[in-house]
Amino acid sequence: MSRIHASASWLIVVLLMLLAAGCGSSATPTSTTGSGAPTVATNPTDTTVSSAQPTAAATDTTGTGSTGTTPTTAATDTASTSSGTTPAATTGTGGAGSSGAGTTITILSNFTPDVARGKVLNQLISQFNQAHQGQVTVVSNPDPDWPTLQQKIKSMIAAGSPPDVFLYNYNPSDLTREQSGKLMDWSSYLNADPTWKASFRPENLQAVTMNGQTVAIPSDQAPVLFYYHKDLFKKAGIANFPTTWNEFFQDADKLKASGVAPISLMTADDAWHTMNAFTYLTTAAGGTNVFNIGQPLNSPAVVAGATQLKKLFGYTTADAVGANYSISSNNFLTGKSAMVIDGPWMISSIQSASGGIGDIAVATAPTNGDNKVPAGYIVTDSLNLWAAAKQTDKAKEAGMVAWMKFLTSSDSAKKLSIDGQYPLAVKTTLTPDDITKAGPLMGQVLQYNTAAPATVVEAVRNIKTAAQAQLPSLLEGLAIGQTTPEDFAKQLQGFNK
Amino acid sequence: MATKPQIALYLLPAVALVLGFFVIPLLFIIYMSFHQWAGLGPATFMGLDNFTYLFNDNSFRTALTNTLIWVGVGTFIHTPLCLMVALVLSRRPFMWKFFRTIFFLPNVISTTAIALLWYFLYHVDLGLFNKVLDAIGLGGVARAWLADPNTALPATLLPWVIYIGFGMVIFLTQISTIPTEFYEAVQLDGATSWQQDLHITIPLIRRAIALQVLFVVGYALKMFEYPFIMTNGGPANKTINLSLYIYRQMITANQYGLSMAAGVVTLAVGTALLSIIFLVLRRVDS
Repeated sequence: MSRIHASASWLIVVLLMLLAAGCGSSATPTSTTGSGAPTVATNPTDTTVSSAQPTAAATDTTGTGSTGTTPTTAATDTASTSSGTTPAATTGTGGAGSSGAGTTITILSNFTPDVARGKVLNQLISQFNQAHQGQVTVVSNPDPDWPTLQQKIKSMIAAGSPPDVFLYNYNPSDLTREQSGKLMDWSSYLNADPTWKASFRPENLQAVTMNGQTVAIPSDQAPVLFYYHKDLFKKAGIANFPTTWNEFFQDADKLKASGVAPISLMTADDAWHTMNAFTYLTTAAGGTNVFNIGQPLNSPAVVAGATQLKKLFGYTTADAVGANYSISSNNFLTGKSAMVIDGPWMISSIQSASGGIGDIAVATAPTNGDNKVPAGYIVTDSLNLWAAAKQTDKAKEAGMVAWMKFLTSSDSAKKLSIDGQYPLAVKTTLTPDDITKAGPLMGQVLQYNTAAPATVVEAVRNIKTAAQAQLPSLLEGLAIGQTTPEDFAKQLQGFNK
Repeated sequence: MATKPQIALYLLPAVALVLGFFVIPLLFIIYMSFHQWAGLGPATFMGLDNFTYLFNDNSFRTALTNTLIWVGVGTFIHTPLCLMVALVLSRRPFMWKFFRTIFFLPNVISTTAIALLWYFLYHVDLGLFNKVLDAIGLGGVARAWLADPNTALPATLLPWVIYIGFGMVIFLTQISTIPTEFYEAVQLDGATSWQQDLHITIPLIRRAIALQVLFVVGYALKMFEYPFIMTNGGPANKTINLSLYIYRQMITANQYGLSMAAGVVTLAVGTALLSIIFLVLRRVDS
């Protein structure tokens, strides 16, 4: 019997060794396509591109427009025509292209295909892939939940394998991603193509330039505005959207009396809708610089904003405490609430929900009428950025540059603004025709955005992650009367240290 | 008879797995609990600062208290309920097999799905509870159960308390091993059902009760789905527990060192609770 046991034991050991050996051997092909150590020698496809053409790749990206014959050149030819309108500059035939393999770039974003921007992104990807067939394939891997997506990206960077290309929100109080050393440097490509570089606002590029390395490309900075049901306003006897906060609360009383919750609020996750309201209320009380980096969060303006926010919780839906973005948005879309403060992506949801814009309009925020802030000023989302994993594979890097130049080209930006309801943070000239084409709601958003005399980044986007983590409980404390506005401000300041 | 090398060989895979997936990560967690680390970049040694912070942090203290409430409710309400139902079903009343299955059913359904179900049962507008209260003329009692600071914690505890299937099965199994002669003997002496349960059944299944309490403590310490899905720890941290606190510090605040320090405290609390259970069991036995 013991002999049988011994044989079984040895069998297990041998199996384990085989398993270990199997794992070891499988690691090699995986690493050849990954972003890890260079492994060109073991991968015929990569060898062709990476070892034979590094100089060509570098040269092509300077925008010489050479019509080389390698796939790398082909991919970057498109890039060189950054302000051009087509990705179809592919002329390459050999190398990876001829093998039919090429390089695959996966994009992590919240551009799901059920919303307008996702549809447009997929169209752009398909256009790009067609032009780079056999050389570069861009694949979208969207996650609709923005906070989860951001955590996923951080975890992937922490694990040493950032996504190929990803969308994230810039937070000057949390530069861990930018300073991780895992992100690709775009500076040489931007410097080599002045037209492309000039399409971004210099301060945006400056914000993501660390030690001379530009680690991200500006994507968008969405304006956050008041969307409201005109029919519900009319039913409550309100003719126009209020221009002062006093009027706002008077109208809120009328809406409440008519049986509808005046505004959608939420406290879960990043408390987006609520923090939009808080940012508007606080800036109205203290001016557009109250949330600038270095400003205390227990200032009188923040206390005033929190006081008004506490009052606003009396005008929201019964499920606001604990509600997430989906619940809060749904309350607005189904007419349970009359207003929501959100970004232009809401337009896509409005269209999906009602098969058209229905009786919904958009407005800029009220002020206190005391000139602390100019009428028509706008709170914006954080600057969203595209970043990419640092590459050892030059072909892949060239593909990423080509894709990014195509995505941020004037034509793509226009398409995303008009069809995708997603204005990019690149210089885009929109004609009145374009604005009409964008539809009445998006047209209004674009007009308000262009005409805004001042902008402020939403409060939650600039505070430290420790304070962000505490926001739901702080806001809930305020809503249920457990925390005073003074305590709210004091605790927020404490967590933000 | 296996030789020593053979025994060592048998143990090797298990030892390797425990070392690789438990002991080494545990040592890493303890080591990192003394550091400040954002998950990216280098970690900074902080000494006991993380632990000092934890015990000064209101939300951590609430999380610890709530976890102990979960343990208490599990031990003193949930477990007696399991026992009561097991004692009734062990007498094999009409349709006892059907009820045994029904009671056990929630244990094979995903906790996430059940938490979501209860979220909607409690929902202020759509929820069954408020609709029923309205229908029977008690609309004034209706409320946002999960958003009300007075009802949120009991509301998240309720599903766990009433799903008694797992404990019930443990007790039923143990009761089935008690020889019927014991009962026949006391029945001749005129013992009532209650006296039989009290003097024969419960003492003879005390080890099963201890086992159930062990499970309950482990479950309460690990409980995440109910508070996360139903309230996300709210309102204002009223339902936060240690698991949710650890998750929040790590995933939302990116304070990995602090999160690991909270994990170490959880480990210490778990060890202390288990020691108490074993101590009580030893005393009962002696």
